[in-house]
Amino acid sequence: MTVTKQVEIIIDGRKIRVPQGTTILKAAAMLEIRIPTLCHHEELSPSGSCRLCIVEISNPSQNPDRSWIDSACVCPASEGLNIKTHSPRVLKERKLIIELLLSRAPDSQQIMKLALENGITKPRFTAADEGKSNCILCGLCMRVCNELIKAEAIGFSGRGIKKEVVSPFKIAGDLCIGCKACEAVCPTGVINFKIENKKLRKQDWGVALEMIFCPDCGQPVGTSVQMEQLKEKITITDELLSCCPACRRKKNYSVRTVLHRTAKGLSDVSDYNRLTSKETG
Amino acid sequence: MKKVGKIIADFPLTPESLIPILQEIQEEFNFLSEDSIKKVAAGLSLPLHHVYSVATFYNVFSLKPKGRNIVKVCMGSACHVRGAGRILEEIERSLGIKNGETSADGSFSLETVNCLGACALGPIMVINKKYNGHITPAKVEKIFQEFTSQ
Repeated sequence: MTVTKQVEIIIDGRKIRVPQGTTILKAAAMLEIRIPTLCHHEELSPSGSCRLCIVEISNPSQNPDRSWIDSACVCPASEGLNIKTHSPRVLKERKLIIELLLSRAPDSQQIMKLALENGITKPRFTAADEGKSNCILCGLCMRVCNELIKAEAIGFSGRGIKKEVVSPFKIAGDLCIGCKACEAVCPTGVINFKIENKKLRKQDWGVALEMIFCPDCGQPVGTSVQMEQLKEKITITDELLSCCPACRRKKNYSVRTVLHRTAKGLSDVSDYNRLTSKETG
Repeated sequence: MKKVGKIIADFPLTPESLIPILQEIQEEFNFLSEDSIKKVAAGLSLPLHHVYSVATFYNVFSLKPKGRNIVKVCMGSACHVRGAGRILEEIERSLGIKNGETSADGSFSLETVNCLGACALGPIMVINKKYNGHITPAKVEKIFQEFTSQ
């Protein structure tokens, strides 16, 4: 068995030893140093697309005069790196990145909040689509759909200014299970499923799935496809499964247990809770 | 659609075969149909969205049927300074279609490229695989007349 080499790095003046290859973002989290991110999610592969987590890196043992900018979520730690997460250069470049993100998603509450926190009220730029998509193309929705839910219903199409998230040939109509994980992870909040005529709908993806409503209170519980999948993973009676979490609790059933068992295959239960919080309340 | 299956069968069923297979289908049918993309995805055991993203990423692939003859006009710097813009206008006029379109009878598709690597011949236009160099707006009409009479 090979033992992973430990390396020592410095983040904001604090030393930490981590296994070689640990991302800088992860190492910073161990020190409870917060680096802002939009496209990162613990359970999904890193993509380095939002660029918000940029940090200034130097390697004093090699060249003390040179430093460079890289995104912390994809940059692996190696021996002797000195990392600054909030240096003037980082803050300046991060501000520009936020401006660019805001130009792509001008109507997004989340991005607007982020911009205001950084002193930006209006972006200087106009995106190619004039911000109509309100999508920053971070790919979180497709990563969660492909890697975690494994529905493989959405992906990118085109490139450059024509790049967008699509469901090719509206294939999501067949593949989507209506878990709404994509809606939950979307950092701009642009993915919106609607319930109309007792069906969960997202028209541009061709999704129209039958919804199950709680027989006691009438709250939407989930789609029938998702319920079928859940039934295979957890031990639960049909009656309890069709109830909303509040009514389920009333029926003297430990919701916690359900969630815990559902989260099999996920390392963190709280994460599953967060992902599915819109369904399970 | 039998032919698509045949094309796929000619390649090892690995993800690396994706682009060569799509190229061959594009060559054969002049476009990638929904069915053929779905077949390729199934044949290579790749998610459909992956095949779709590759098919929409590259300019060589088209999801809409292209014309039987493809006219490419070079808009590279060398051709541009020698008047490629005016030549494109003239071609649009003589074919009756705009850049990126296909004529109603399906005979011609018109597209622009950024450099053909034959700058010494500029301005240049390619019909199918034939290079027509040093063209002028006046020559355009003649070239198409010759082409259609062949």
